[in-house]
Amino acid sequence: MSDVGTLERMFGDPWDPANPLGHAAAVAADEREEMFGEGERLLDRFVLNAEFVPVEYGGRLTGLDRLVRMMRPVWRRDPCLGLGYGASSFIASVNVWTAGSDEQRRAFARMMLANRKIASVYHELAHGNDFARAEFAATPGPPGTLLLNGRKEVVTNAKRADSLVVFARTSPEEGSRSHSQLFVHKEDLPPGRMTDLPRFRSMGMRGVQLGGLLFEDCPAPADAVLGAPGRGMETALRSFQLTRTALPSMMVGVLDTGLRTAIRFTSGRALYGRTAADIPQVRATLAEAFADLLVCDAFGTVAARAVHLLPGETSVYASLVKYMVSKLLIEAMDRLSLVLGAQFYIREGEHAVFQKLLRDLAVIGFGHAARVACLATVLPQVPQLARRSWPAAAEPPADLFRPDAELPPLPFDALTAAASGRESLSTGPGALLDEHGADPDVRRLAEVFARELAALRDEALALRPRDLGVAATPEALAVPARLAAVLAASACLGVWRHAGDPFLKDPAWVVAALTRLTARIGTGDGRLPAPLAERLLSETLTRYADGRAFDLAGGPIPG
Amino acid sequence: MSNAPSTEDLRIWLIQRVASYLEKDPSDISPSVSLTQYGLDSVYAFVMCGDIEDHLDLRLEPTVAWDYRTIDALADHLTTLVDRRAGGAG
Amino acid sequence: MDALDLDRELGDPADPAAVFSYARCAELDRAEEFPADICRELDRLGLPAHYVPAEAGGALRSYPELIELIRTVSRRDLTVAVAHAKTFLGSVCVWVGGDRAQAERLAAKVVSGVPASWGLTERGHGSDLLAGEVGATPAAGPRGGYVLTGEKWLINNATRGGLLSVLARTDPQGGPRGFSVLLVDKGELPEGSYRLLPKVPTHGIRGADISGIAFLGAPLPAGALVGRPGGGLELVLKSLQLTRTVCAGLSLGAADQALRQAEEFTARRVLYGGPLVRMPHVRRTLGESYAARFVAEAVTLAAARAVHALPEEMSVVSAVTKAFVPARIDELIFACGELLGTRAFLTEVHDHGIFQKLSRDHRVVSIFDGNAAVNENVIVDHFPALVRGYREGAADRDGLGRALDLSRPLDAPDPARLTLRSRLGCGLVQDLRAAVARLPAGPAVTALAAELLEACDEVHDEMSRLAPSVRDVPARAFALAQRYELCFAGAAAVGLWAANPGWRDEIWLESGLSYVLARLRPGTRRRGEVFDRLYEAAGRDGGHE
Ligand SMILES: Cc1cc2nc3c(=O)[nH]c(=O)nc-3n(C[C@H](O)[C@H](O)[C@H](O)COP(=O)(O)OP(=O)(O)OC[C@H]3O[C@@H](n4cnc5c(N)ncnc54)[C@H](O)[C@@H]3O)c2cc1C
Ligand SMILES: Cc1cc2nc3c(=O)[nH]c(=O)nc-3n(C[C@H](O)[C@H](O)[C@H](O)COP(=O)(O)OP(=O)(O)OC[C@H]3O[C@@H](n4cnc5c(N)ncnc54)[C@H](O)[C@@H]3O)c2cc1C
Repeated sequence: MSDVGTLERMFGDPWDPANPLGHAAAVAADEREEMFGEGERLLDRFVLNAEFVPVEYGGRLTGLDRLVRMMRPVWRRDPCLGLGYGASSFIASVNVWTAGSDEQRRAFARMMLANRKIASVYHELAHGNDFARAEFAATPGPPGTLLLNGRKEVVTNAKRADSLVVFARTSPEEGSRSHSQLFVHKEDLPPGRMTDLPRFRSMGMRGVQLGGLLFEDCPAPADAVLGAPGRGMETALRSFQLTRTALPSMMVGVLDTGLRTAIRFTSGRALYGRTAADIPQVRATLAEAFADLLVCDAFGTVAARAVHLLPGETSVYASLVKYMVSKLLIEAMDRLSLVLGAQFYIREGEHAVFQKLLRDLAVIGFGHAARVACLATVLPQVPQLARRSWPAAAEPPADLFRPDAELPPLPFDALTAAASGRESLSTGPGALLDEHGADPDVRRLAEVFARELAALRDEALALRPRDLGVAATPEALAVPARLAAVLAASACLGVWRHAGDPFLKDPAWVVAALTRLTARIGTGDGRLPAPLAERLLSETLTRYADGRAFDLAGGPIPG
Repeated sequence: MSNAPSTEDLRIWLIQRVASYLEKDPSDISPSVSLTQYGLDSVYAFVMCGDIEDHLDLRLEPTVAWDYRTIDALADHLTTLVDRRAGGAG
Repeated sequence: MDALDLDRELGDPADPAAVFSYARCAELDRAEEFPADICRELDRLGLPAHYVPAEAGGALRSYPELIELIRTVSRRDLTVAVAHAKTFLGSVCVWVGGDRAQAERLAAKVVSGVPASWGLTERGHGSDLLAGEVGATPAAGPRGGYVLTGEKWLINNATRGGLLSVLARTDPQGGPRGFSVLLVDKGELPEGSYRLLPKVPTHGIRGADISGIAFLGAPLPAGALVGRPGGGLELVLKSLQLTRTVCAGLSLGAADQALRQAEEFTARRVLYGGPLVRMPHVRRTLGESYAARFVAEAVTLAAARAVHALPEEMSVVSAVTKAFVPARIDELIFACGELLGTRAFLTEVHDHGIFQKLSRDHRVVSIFDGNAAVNENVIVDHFPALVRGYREGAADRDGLGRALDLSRPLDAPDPARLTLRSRLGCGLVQDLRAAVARLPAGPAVTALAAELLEACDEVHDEMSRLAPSVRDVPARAFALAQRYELCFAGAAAVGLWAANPGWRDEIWLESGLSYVLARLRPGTRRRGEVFDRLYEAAGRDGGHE
C-alpha cells in the first residue's frame, strides 16, 4: 500500500516523545544540523521517490495533486525531509520528464526507484533569480564531450546526490536560447575536476545539506544534454509550472502542524481561570488559520489539476500559487506564533516543533524563485489575458475542482513557457453570479471578486509595455498579485460548488475563505465575524479531536 | 485572406512595436540588430508574441522571439507562416 | 553620555577587532554564548547609570534619551540589548515604588554593573499575573522579613543577575491585593536556599541568559519589600507602563539595522543588468519601510515624552506603544527580508548573517513584557474613557504641549503620577481635531490629515457601539484596538510635526499619514508614489544610512 494514510501510519504519532519518527526526534536532528535519519530510512522503505516517477516509467506518479497530498505527511513532520529527501529530487525530475530522451528518463527512473538522490543545480550566488545570466558553462570539448566550468552554490544535496541536473550556459550569446540542462552522473566524471564547496549554513532547513560544486574543465558526455541544446531556459520555465504549483502546496502540511500545535497549547494552557482556547481572540486566530489553510489547499489543488486539464494555462496559475500560498502560510504561522507566545520562542519542550517549522517555512518566500519574481513572470502575460480571456466565456471543466475525479496523464509536452493569453479559472465568481439560488453571502463575495476582475482588466489594458519588465512599477506588479486573489477565490468557489463532502458543501468555509481573500485585494480587513469564526473553529476542533488533517481531504492522521 | 501583409509590412509593423516597447523613435530601431541588444529580454518576447498573434490572428509558440532574434528574422518567419496559412486555406 | 557618544565609543561594528562587532555577535549567537565581554564594555562606558533615575544617583533624566541609548545598542545587536537593558526592567519597581534608601542602595549596585532581573512569569502562568504561585510568607522571629518559595521561569538574567525583583503571592487567597514585589539580592541568600534553572534554548537572542530560579524557602530581610505589602500587582502594572515604552527602543534599533541591510544589499546587488535598487518595487519597499520607521519613531517619541509630561495617561499610551511598534517593525523586517532573499536566510554568506539573526531576535519583543493581546486588552478596557474624551475633545493641553514640543525641557519623571487607568483617556488622540484644524501644511497633507480625522471619528463611533465586556472580549474589539493604535500613530505624527517646525520635511508626514491610512482604511485604494518620493528625499537628506 502506498497511499497517504499508510505513510501517515508509518510515521506514527508525532507527539509521542518515544516515537523515533516524531516531532521530538525531528527537532533533535534539526538541533544537530543533520538530516532526520530515521525519517530518511522510513522514506526509503516507502520508496517515496516512486511518487516522482510516472507510472509508465515504473513509478507511482499519476497526478500532481496526488503527489502533493502524498508529500504532506512528510512536510507535516519535517520540512527538511520534505525538501532534502523529496522536493529537490522532484525539481530535478521534472526537467527530465519535460525534456529528456526516453533513455534519460529510464536512467532517471532507475535511480529514483533505487532510493538515490538527484540534485537540481541551478543557482549561482552571483546571479540568484536572474538565472539567464548564469555563468556556469558547458562548452564543446574533445569529441563526444562537453567541458564544464564554473560554480554552483546553495544547492540541496549537492554533495550526496549521485546525479545532477545542471543548468549551464551553452552559448555565449545573450538571449534565451543560450542555456541547456545537463543530466550528469557523478560516476561519469573524472576525479579531481568536480569539487565540493563547503556547506552553507542557514537559519532554517538546518538539516538540509546545502552545498556547492566547483567544476574545472570537467568533461561530461555530450549526450547529457536534456532535449535540444539551447532549450534550457524554456525547459526551466515549463518545469517551473509543476514545481511552483506543487512545492507551496505541499507546505500546507507545515501549517497543519502549526495549527495543531497552537490548539494543543491553548487548550492546555490555563489563563484567567479557563484555558487560552476559550479566549475569543485566540479562537478567531485559530479559525482564520484554518480558513487560510483551506484557501491554500483549494488554490494549490486546482492549480495542480490544471496542469493535467489546462496545461496551456498553467504558466499563470503556477507562479501565482507560489506567490499567494507562500504569503498566506507565512502570515498564518506568524499569527499563530503570537498565540503560542513564549512557547513559540523556546526550542525545547512539547511545542518546540513550532519554531522549527516557522524557520523552515521561511524558504517558501524566496527559495526556487522570489515571490515578486513570480509576479514578474505573470505580468507580461497580463495584457494578453485581459484582451483575450477577461471575462472569459468558457468555464473550465468541472473535474478541475473535483479532487477525486480521474485525471489524464501529466502532459509534459503540452506545457508552454507562457499562456498565450488564455486563462479560464477566473470565470469562477462570474459563473456563480449567473446561478440562481446561490447562498446570499457567497453571492455577495463572488460579486466582489467579479468586480475586481473587471477592474483588473481595465488596469491591465492600460499597462504600457515598459511596465511589464524589470522597470515594472509596484502598481503594475499589483495586477498579477490581485489576480492571484481572484484565482484563489475562484478555486475555492469551484471546489465548493462541486463538493460532495458535507463540510465542503456547506457555504461556511467558502464564505470564510473569500472573506479572508478580500484583504488581499484591499476591499476588506479579512477578519471573520464571530459566528463564522466559531463555525470554522468547531470543524477545526472536531478534526483535531478525531485525528484528521485540516486540508480539503481531511484524511485520518495519527496523534 | 486577400491582402496578407508582406514581409516589408511586417518589418515596419514590428519596428513600430519594438519602438513602442522601448519608448524610442522607430528610426532608432534597426531590424538587423538582435532584440536582446535593445534590452528586450525573455519577458518581452512573450509580450511581443501576444501582440503579433493579435495582429495576424495566428497562434504562435510563445518563444518565437527567442528563436528569431532580429526583426528581419521574425518578419521572414512570420511571412512564411502567413503564406503557409494562405496556401493551406486556398 | 548620549546615544551618539555611546555609538562612537563603541567603535565601528564592522571592524572585527572592536569589542562590540557584528562578527563577534554572530559568533556568540552560533555558540549560544552570553555576550559577557560586550556587556562589560557597556558597563565600562557607564550605560548602567542610565537605567537609574538621577534622583537616586544615576543618569536617567530623559526617557527619550534612554530609548535612544537602547536603540543604539539594539541596532548593533538585539541579544546584547536585551541582556543588558534588562537591568532597567529588573530595577524599575524600586524606582516606581521603593523608598529613597532602597533606591539609593539599588542604584549603587546597578551603577557598579550588577545586573538585575525581573521575575514575573512562572512555568504555568504568563500574562495572568494573578495566577502566580511563588509565595512569600512572613518569617518567624523579631526581624520580620519573608520566606520565599516557588519557581520563576523564563527569566532573562535569572542566572547571571545579582538582583531579582520578584512578584510573589503574599496572601494565600491571592487577588489584586494579594501580591507584593520583593527585591532579592542573590548574594545575600544562604547557600541552598535557591536553585538556578538551566538555560532555555531560544529561537532568537540565543546568547541571552534565559533561565529561571527556584526559591527553596529563601529568607529575605524585611527591607526586601518594595512598596506596600499587597501592592505588588499595582506596582508591577505601573512599572510595566515604563518598560513597555522603553521596549520600543529595541524595535527601532532592529528597524535601523534591517533597513541598513536592505539599503546596502539593494545598492550593490546586480540583477538583470543593473543594481537591484533600480527596480521600482524595491524603491517602493524601501520608501514604505522608511515611513513605517518614521511612524514608529513618532509613536515612541510621543510616548517617551509622555512619561514626563502626561504620566496619568501612560496606561493607554504605553499599551499602544508596545502593541504597535514591535508589530509594525516585525512587518518591516519581513519586507526588508524579501529584498535580501537567500541572504536573509543563510547564516554565513552575507554580512555575518546579521539579518537572519535580527529577524529571529526581534520576534521576542512582541512576546515579552506583555504581548500584543494583553496590551490591546488594556486599550479595550479604556474604550469608554477614550470615547468620552474624544467626543469632548478633552486634553491636558499643557502636558500635551510639553510632550510634543521637542524644544521644551522635560520635567523629572514622577512615577507617583502613574495610574492604572487613565481617567482622561488619551489627550493626543482627543486633541486631533484641534491639531488638524491648525496644521500648517500643504494641500496633500491637509487632505490626509482630514481623512485621518474622519477615520478616527469612525473608529471612536465603533468603539462606542461595542458593548462593554470584561471577560469575553470579542475578537472584534481587538481589531478595533488595532485601529485605535493607528489613530494614535497618526496623531503622534501630526502632533510632533506641527509642534516642531523644521523637525522633518513635510514629505515625512505625508508618507507617515499615507502609511497609517492604508492600514486604517484598507478598502480605499491609494497611490503609493508618496513612498517613492520619500525614498528619493531620504537619499537627499542622507537618510539612507
Ligand atoms: C534551503 C535552500 C535550498 C536551496 N536549494 C537549491 C537547489 O537545490 N538548487 C538550486 O539551484 N538552488 C537552491 N537554492 C537557491 C535558491 O533557489 C535561490 O536562493 C533563489 O533562486 C533566490 O536567489 P537569491 O536569494 O540569490 O535572490 P536574488 O536573485 O538576489 O533576489 C533578491 C531579490 O531581488 C528581487 N528580485 C529578484 N528577481 C526579481 C524579478 N524578476 N523581478 C522583481 N524583483 C526581483 C526580489 O526581491 C528578491 O528577493 C536553495 C536555497 C535555499 C535557502
Ligand atoms: C526570551 C524570553 C524572555 C523572557 N524574559 C522574562 C523575564 O525576564 N521576566 C519575566 O517575568 N518573564 C519573561 N518572559 C516571559 C514573558 O513575559 C511571557 O511570555 C509573557 O508574559 C506572556 O506569557 P505567555 O507567553 O506564557 O503567554 P500566555 O500568558 O500563556 O498566553 C497565551 C496566549 O493567550 C493569549 N492571551 C493572553 N492574554 C490575553 C488577553 N488578555 N486577551 C486575549 N488574548 C490573550 C495570547 O495570544 C497569548 O499568547 C520571557 C519570555 C521569553 C520568550
